[in-house]
Amino acid sequence: MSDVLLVSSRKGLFVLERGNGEWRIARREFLGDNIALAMCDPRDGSWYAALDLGHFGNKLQRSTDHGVTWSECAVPAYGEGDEVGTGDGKPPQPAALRLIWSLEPGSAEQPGRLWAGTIPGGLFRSDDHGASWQLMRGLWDLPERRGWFGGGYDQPGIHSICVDPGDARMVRIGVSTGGVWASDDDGATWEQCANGMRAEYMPPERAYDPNVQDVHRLVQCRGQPDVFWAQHHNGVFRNDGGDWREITNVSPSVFGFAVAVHPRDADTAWFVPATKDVRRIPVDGQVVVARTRDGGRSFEMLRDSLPQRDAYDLTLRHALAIDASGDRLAFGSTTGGFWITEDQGDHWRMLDARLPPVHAVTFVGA
Amino acid sequence: MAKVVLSSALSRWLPQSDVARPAGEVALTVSGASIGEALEHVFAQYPNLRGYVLDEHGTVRHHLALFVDGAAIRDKRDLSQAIGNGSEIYVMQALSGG
Repeated sequence: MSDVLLVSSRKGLFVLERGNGEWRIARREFLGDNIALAMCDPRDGSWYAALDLGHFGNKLQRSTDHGVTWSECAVPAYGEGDEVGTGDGKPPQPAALRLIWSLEPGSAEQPGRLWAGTIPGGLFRSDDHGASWQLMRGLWDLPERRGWFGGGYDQPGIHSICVDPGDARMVRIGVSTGGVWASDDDGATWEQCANGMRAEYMPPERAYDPNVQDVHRLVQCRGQPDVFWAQHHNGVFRNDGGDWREITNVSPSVFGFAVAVHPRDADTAWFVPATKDVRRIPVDGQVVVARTRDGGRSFEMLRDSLPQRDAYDLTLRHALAIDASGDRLAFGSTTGGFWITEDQGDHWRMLDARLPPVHAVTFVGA
Repeated sequence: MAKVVLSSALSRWLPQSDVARPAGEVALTVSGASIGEALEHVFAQYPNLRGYVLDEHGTVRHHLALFVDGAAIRDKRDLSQAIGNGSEIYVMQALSGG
């Protein structure tokens, strides 16, 4: 089990450690700075932190000593002539890095390989621990990419990257809004694979168009890598190969941003539902986690020790994490609430802190 | 020679080897006949600063302000404005951002 958590927040990166059965904030890195996300590289133990500095742009920092010291890496960059065209009628604009929205390591056979998903929609690959980045032209240059549009941001973005645990040449990405895309050749060529997803809010003739699907988060089961779960703007979807299947019986709501899947049991997954979609607050002011253990046929509402009255905590797409054991999960909220379970959600404990808005959560060694 | 003044919010991102400096504004004396040339001399000294001041297309970042001898530059894409001996360039965060 992992005893260390990295919590990326609007005002710093918080390192949580477990000791004597309690979790506490052990260190505070980049205090005051806006941290978009953090990533722990299982291959060499290094930590990465993506900073979204309001004035000075996006930065990437790397630590090889568990966050004691940090050094700056390069960040993905767009070239002259790269343009963001969107499918929602906004005029085309020059592409420039707006946000590092996802960051994942390659496999053990690919030391130094990193994948970064960005707003405005480019996927980048590094093969030197972030010292340099290459835009995946095979995706960026597709005409379909100009049909994507922003979901929550002005421009589209890649928020989820799944590197297949069995064959690291196979990469799946989730795009808001632009569906799910797959490459089987290290990112050289791509095809859309969001068939079956449904966007209720679109005109009827476009509702099943894979390129307009607003995927909020995409996760892959490590032990059963043929199974993917997606929290979508419109609901929850599962894929066992082939088309996506919509799951409509999630209580108390099918709307939300975050999803986590058990690392070995693909039928077990967790969601943090919210009232859809303009309010984006917990249903009835009660924070709950929805869990399925039967592949989505049924869901339990987990609420033990979670706030059940006048709680307006929204959990963003990267703010729910699971560790490698599959027993420990943690999630944070935009109002700074933070909860940890050690028994798959049967019981939760609140961190004794009032954190800044939480953007992302990850277990070290997960 | 011109003086380039980096605000404290910017100077804190200078490399860690320079953290022994007192916190606060950093003033650098550089050569250059234009704003762009002066900044290039700053970036030669501190390469990582380029990405804090300019985006990947060479445009001054949206939420950054450059004042040259007391006047804000008018076009963030054009750094060819001539500067004189003794000119002062202040690089600071715009209050609109962050």
